[in-house]
Amino acid sequence: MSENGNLFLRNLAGFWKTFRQNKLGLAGGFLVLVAVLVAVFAPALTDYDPSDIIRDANNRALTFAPPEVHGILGTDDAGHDVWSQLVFGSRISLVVGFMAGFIAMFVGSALGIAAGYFGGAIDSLIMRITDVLLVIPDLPLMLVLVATIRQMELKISPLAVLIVVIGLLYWTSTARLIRSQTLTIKERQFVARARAIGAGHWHIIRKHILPQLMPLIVANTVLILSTAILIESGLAFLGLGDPTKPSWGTMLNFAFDRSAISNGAWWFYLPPGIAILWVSLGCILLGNVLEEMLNPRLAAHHLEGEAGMIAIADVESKG
Amino acid sequence: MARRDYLLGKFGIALLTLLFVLLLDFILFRVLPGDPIRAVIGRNVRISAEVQQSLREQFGLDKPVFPDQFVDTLGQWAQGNLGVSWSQRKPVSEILISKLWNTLLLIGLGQLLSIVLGAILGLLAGWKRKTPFDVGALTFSLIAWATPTFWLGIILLVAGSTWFGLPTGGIVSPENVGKPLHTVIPDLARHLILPTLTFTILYLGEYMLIMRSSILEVLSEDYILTARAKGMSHFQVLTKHGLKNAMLPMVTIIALNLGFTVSGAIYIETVFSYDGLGNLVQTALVKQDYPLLQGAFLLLAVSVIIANVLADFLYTYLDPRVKAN
Amino acid sequence: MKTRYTFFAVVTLLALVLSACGGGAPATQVATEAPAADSGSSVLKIGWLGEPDTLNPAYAFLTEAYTVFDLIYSPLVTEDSSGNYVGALAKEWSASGDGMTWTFTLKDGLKWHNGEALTANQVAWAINAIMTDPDGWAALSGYVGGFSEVTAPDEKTVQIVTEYPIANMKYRLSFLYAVYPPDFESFTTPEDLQNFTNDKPIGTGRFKLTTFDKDTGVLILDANPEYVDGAPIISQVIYQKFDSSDAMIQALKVGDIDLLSDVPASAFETVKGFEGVTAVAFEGRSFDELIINDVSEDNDPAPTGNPALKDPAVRLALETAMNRQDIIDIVLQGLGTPGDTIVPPTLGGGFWHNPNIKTPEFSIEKASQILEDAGYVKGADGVREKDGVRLEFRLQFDVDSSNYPRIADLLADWYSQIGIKATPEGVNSDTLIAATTGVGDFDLVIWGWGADPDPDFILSIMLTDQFVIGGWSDAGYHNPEYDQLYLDQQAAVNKDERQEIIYKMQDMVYNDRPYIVLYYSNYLQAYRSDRFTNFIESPLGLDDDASLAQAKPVQ
Repeated sequence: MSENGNLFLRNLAGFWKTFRQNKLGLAGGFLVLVAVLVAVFAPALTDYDPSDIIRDANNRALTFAPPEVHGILGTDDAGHDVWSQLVFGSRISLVVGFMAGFIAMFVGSALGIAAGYFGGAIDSLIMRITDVLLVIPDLPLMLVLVATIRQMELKISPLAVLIVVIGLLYWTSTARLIRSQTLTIKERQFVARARAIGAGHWHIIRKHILPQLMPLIVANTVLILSTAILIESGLAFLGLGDPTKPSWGTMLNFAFDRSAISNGAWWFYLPPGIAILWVSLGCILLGNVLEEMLNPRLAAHHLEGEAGMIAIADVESKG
Repeated sequence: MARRDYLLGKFGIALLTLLFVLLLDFILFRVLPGDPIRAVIGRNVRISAEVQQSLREQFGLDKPVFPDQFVDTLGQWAQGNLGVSWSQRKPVSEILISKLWNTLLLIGLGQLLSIVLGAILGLLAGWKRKTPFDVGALTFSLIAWATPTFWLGIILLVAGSTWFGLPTGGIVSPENVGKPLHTVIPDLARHLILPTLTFTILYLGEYMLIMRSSILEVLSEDYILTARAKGMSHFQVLTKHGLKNAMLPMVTIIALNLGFTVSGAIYIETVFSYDGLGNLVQTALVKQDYPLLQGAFLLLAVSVIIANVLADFLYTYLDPRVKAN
Repeated sequence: MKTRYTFFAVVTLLALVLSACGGGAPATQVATEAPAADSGSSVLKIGWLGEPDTLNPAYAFLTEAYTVFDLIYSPLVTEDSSGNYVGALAKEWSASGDGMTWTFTLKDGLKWHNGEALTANQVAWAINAIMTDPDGWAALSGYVGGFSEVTAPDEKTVQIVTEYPIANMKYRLSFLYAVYPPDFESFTTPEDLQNFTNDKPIGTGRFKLTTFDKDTGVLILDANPEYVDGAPIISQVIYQKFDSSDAMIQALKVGDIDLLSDVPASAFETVKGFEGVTAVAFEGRSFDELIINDVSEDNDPAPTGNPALKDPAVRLALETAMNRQDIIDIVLQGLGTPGDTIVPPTLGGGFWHNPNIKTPEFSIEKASQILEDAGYVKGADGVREKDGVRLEFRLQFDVDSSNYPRIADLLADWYSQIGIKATPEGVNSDTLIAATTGVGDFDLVIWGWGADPDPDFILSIMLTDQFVIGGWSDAGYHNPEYDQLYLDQQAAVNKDERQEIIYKMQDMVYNDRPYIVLYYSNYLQAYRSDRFTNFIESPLGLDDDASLAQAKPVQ
């Protein structure tokens, strides 16, 4: 354990040295970090609860108030403070995005390792499943699934449904990447040696394969996060979010349905979109740079400094 | 041989996917709470118990779910019978067909524009590598990638209607609704500008990146010298070889993009109240019209599967590796 | 080189196909083109967010359908903009001394849209059809209750005999449209009749329907030049359905449409500010309410509502913890009046609304105290409970309204502060109907009603026997005393006497709280006053039949 741990730390230090030099990566990291900090310290950043109703001098609800009249970003159609909605919305958007991303990462890695390590029938089965999932148009599939699951009266919170559905549909690219990487590692000598001395599958995967894959999994997870956050916002915009726990997508859903555009309430419909853009851009930049640095196959390929950007063509899906 | 094997493999996947989609659609229909006969007659129709029973028999709902009902349902679907919409009380297939062409028009136009513009911009970006133009183009494609589709639509809707007086919704103006589309082209075009523009911006970046890297590859090789020797200009070389190199990845991306194009259509049509399949899906979702929603899913999924097979077919013509074997 | 050819062939083909469809027009050229503004045109384009569910009057439930029926069909008498009843098909009428025989004389020169002359027999047939098949004519059968015989003694006379004197006869008749018998004669079962979509209706009204395209949501009506009271000034009315209110408002702004039949309150101020647009607000006849499951335990199937909802203290707390003014300010942008009884203050010019009902003042503390005193104690998670029953309710609402999600939000928030957990859930109206009427599978529902000009209909939604599938009652209120009063008011020919009974009925419903009426909303419309003028501004709306009759283009 300690040997693995030290190796990891040493790798980490070396990694940071390289990463520090990459401006795009730093920029992405900055964007993501800010968003996470906002989510963590949300209560400290605003004086209002997102469900508070802002009132005028006559104690009447102040609706569609522009920023000149109230607070940092005015109020929405219900007299809620938009800034606090935005700040607290980051928690919902990030939690749904991150949890869905982690599920996808977990499923994708597990299946990718299984396919790559065991090969044969398991490999074909898993790869056929990814083939099938890649072809089916993702948004209609998710809409049908989420809508049907909700109708089944299972007493699951709407957000949990979103997390599970997004998580269970977006693991395919991870699985493919991890599988091919597992295939290379499997051929290396130390694995062959471990096998020769009779180590069990589980032991080999845990001690030899997983540590090698870890950096790649991390990089890929960051990329998946951007997809998950975009998808969450899209589904929430289409009305599948939880109106009592507004995410950025839910805010936009309300803005669109409640005439924010006709009212010229730009402070209501611009900020949530910018926030989504902020986080997903951060994840894409960070993820691509990480992947470029950590994926041996990609690193060999890229000739140019702006490879991180070119690699965005490799991201396979988008909300 | 290799080409045949490759295609057979792809056909296999397509069939597998098709089966999966059909099965999923069938299962989703059955897990809805309440009597499945509701899916046939809707929720708010007062129909006597006797009539319900005869309908149940007519639709085979008194038989075991597997395999009888599944096979029956497949047969119904094969004949284009996708049930009756709850909200519109009309056959689902009839509704779907009436929206299909509008969506194809939007998607086709959006794809075409983004491919052409993407290729041109990519060519210029690659040629003027590391100039402000190149950096700008890359930044643009990156930001477009990270932008939520529907939000971009909203922004363009506000900008287009405020500054250019463009219509914000629908496919034609009210007085032209119902007329054949080819008789109201100027009006149609006016309504198509904003949704098509949204589409184009979203998908442009990817095609641009492919074209750009293809150009870079050409630049890094000996093409230039050889071709120059043959008396071609620098730009001619780039265009000729760059396009040729970009072809294969382009086709791959177009095929891969089909599914996402459908997602784009759902968001964009919703924002612009564009009368197509995407808007229909959204309406069905809001109205909880499950037969319509599932019918639309079936149509979209099957179209994408078929389009994928076609793309693979095209691919085998283009890919020298597959061809050479 | 073959491969390249194939690829380009596809692209070229696509380009050809698309340019043939006209999509390829250069953006700049089109963008500068002025919006289609054909001023002086006498085609009135109306935008709305809904559309008729069907054009078959036997089975039409949505307001939009009745808007269209009023234009294409004529009843014997109809309501005018000041709330009086005037003849539509009927020239004059009289009632016998006992109030049980009504005789109507038809106008001269009445013609169907297809040119045939209308006979008294046909009018009688249309009313008889409803009486003989009340299951089939589900939407209208309520209006013929108490009718015993409808006949046509001669070509010009229709006679209606009733079982008892009917106080609101003219109001009821205003819904009994003369439908063209050949269109409706052939149906043998209620199902056949209800499946009939009547897409080519033949009526006698001021307008003829030429197109109803459900796909595109367009409904086109041509002026009927042979209308008995003279043709309207405008030549055509087009109703266009919009999916989003923003798109609809924008269309009014740029002049794609001329009239909005229902402006969302959240955009009313903005629309008011548009150049060339006049926006009008009338006190309406509709209200929105919180429905509380009041279904009897003996009902079959048994109701699934939380039993705590039967406790009057819980109901009182639900009302006390609700800030009606906030709901009006937020959801209606202030364009409404706080609600109390189910009879809106506009009916009969305010004659029927009971003014003595006082709603409790909004107070979170008081509401908590009410629950505390009734023995509901807060659990570890802040939700109150008593005898193992937790105050945890489903709060469903109709997804067709963009107001309800906000109301649900507000209510859930207030209720959470007094220890009640309400979980909002958007549901489509069909599902809501299936979960409420006759069934009682709900706790709390946010929904709304549009009242008729006469209070009869809105009072009928609380009748015990209306709580059946296909009936009007959704709360499941069951009170035999109320049911008796309903019959009494129908027979009360003296207006003051009827008022007294109706006051009493409102008291009952208010105090028992099957409904908590949230507000009476205003009716908001807007039109391009630079193009059209001379509408009648009344609670019937600018697009009412009489208003469209005199509307004219600006020269």
